[in-house]
Amino acid sequence: MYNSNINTLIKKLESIDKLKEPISTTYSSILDNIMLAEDYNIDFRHTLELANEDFYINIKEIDKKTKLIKNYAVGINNRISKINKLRHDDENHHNNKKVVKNMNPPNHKHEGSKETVKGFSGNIDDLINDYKNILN
Amino acid sequence: MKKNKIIKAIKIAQKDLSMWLYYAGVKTVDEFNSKSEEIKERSFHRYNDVIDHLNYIKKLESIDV
Repeated sequence: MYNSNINTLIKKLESIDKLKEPISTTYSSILDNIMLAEDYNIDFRHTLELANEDFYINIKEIDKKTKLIKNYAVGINNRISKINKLRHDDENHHNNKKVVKNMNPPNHKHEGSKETVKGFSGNIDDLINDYKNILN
Repeated sequence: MKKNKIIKAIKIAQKDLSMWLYYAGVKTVDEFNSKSEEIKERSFHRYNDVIDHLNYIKKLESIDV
């Protein structure tokens, strides 16, 4: 994700009404896990339980020097239907698939039960706007 | 102090593992292992989320403080 460290991502997610309280409630755990991710170079994985949904932030890698996010997935699942509502990630496993051959997206998003792949800029503000639209 | 944070993180991660298994359509790690190819075929992410989470727990458990 471009130009973002974990703390910036969390702070921006707090601007989404439905995420504000769950982030506030689990903030000490978030800070602990940021510390573990930065000190021991392990993943940052945090889930926020909403009424009928699970919102997750999974960060596999951060740049050791700059602390910027290098490998991530951010998404929301409906707990009842198990359907993926929206997921942003930068996994490269789609690169060989015909459907996204021309996009070859380092950043992309998946929507719905079929996990349809769409382009995504990788810009944190675009990500926040997507979740504002889907959650507010 | 760090040890307490790691123990707390492991507890939360173990709880979250149930969620990732749930979204993969199974209840236990053994069931996940036995159906892994089927899950992967259905959704790379559902499969990979469980694998990543299991690796995350292993990393947390291996931290020596």
